[in-house]
Amino acid sequence: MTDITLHGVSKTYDMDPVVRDLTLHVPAGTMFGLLGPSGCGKTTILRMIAGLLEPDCGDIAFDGVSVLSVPTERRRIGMVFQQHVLFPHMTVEENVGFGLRMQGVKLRQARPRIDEVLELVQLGGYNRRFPGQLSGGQQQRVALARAVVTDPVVLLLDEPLSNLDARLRDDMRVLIRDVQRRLGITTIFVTHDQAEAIELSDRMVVLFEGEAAQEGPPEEVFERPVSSRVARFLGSTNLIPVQVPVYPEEGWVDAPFGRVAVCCGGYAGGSVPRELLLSVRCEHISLHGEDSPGTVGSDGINTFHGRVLDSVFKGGLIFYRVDLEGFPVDVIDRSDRQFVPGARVVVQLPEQHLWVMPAVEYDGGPV
Amino acid sequence: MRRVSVTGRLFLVVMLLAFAFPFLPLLVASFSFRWHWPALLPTQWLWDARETTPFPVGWDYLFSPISGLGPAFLNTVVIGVVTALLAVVLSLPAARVLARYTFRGKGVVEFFLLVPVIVPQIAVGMGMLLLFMRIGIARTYVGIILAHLVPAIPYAVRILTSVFQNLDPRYEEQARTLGSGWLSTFRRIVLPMVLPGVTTAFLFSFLISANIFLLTFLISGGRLQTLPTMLFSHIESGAPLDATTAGLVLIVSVPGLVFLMISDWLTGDHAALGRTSFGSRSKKERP
Ligand SMILES: Nc1ncnc2c1ncn2[C@@H]1O[C@H](COP(=O)(O)OP(=O)(O)OP(=O)(O)O)[C@@H](O)[C@H]1O
Ligand SMILES: [Mg+2]
Repeated sequence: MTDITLHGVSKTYDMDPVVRDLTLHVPAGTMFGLLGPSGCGKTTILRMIAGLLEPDCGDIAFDGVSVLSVPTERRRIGMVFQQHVLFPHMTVEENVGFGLRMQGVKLRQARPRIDEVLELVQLGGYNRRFPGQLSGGQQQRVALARAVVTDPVVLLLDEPLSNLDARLRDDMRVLIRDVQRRLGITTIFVTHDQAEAIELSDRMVVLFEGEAAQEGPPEEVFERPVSSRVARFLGSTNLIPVQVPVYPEEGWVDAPFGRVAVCCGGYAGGSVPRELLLSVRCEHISLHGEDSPGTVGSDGINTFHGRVLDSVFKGGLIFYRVDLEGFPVDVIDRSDRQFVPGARVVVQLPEQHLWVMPAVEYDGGPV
Repeated sequence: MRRVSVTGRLFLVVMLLAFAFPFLPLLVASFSFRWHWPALLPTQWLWDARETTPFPVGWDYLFSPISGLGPAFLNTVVIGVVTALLAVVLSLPAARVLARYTFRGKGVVEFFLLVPVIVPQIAVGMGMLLLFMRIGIARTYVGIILAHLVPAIPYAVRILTSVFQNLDPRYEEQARTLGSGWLSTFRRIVLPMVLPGVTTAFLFSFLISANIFLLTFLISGGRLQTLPTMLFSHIESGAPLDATTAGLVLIVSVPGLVFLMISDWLTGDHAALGRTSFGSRSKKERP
């Protein structure tokens, strides 16, 4: 098991800073998610860890030992590129066996292992095909097989599942997770998919313009974003402008639709700004029919009356937009019953999932 | 094999005729003993005149030992192959750098690579002759090959630069992440992928070398004959198109044709790489 440390790493491409003073610790044996908008430097970071790109300054260490002077081919990594590059002149099995061959294993001896890995990515029997004869998703799985077949100590995955359909993606997620757990490979993966980040990662980091905005376990990052920018980027969150009441009362804020009880906030100590943002994830809000009183929390705290504006059924979930006294709130509901547009509902905001943060971000430093 | 439409086939036939046409009179001339204007065909064929001439003419002369065709042919091929090999080997790293990296003075390097093509060969040749005489390699194979490299390398570098521009550097990076050092990456990844381009560069360099008259003539001082120098000596000394010269012209075209076929075979369906019709297709498949 290998832990990875980036210390004050920066990279500039012709005057354009792409990664800025990045410090990250990836604990040994964890699955680490890298999230951020397009162009924020995710690939650049992976390439520096792989040794394909040299940082301008800072240090990268595996197990506390700097690897900056170790060439890529001796870093014992496995990498799946964003544009998975299979060698076009080699068959699938030659591609997958390439890393083993570099370790001195003959193709003949490597074959059982190759078959096993191909079976894992559900491509058993494709040994003799050439990359040009595979679909995009199949190519991606071969690239994945090729990266893990050598039992690397560090696995770098740049959106390894982007070309797969939902079912295969689930299968491959399980596969990556399995391989990673079984071998304890420290894995860093880039993804745009929230579900993937939540399901796969032990820890994750959100990056903006080459800077780490927030790092932590995925539940924490998703539920307690440090800034509205992080919250907006992660999406599926309601950001409700709230104010501290004129006569402040501990744990209460004023939302456009009424007074809300909150238990925690993401602002550092000192004076609490008056303008705040209340963040609540769409799936944490629950809806109840107005005619079924018993279901609502008995004390009635954080319950509001609203009207369904829109409802869409998608993939076992119902996406609602609910009007709360003129303020629209998005809700994702898992239950069977579906409210039709126009229906009156009771909306409950669970206190333990509410999170307040400053409405305006000040420049520099985490908020 | 895909079927070609009728118009397509017609077009191909016309093209073939157009290319083959200049060779036809040469072929006829090489078998003629007397062929005066305006006769459409020779008035006397070679085989009719064989008994009456005291010296062998045309093909008979060319294939007799006194013509020196054999050594000239061998010289052309040996010098051509060595020149082409050296040109490709020397141009590969240069082309890779020119295609992949930007550096100070890159424009200057690119310009100087073109100079031998722009400057008249006689100037280049005289300069080299003076230098070679001083260091004692004038009139040697080494000298001639060095001289041939001067016009060959710019073309090889040009061709290989565009080959490397089309080769995604990520293939090499991916190989390195799989534990492959630079030598094995070059041998197992780069070389197979650029082989069609390398073959083209080799062929071009060979053809350039095989067609050089002036530089060979200058450096060898007429001591060492290649097919072009032999041909030129015939042209200046005789009628424009006697049977011997016509035959010689045909022979001069042989190495080119042979190499064209070899390269076609190397990069075509027969080659190991051809299994995936690699090269033409792989570029498009790259996302
Ligand atoms: N070789 C390069 N030369 C100059 N600029 C580059 C180079 N490679 C990347 N960049 C720039 O660096 C920035 C970060 O690129 P990077 O590929 O790391 O983004 P990313 O986070 O992986 O984005 P995506 O999610 O779209 O893949 C981009 O603005 C890009 O334009
Ligand atoms: Mg990227």
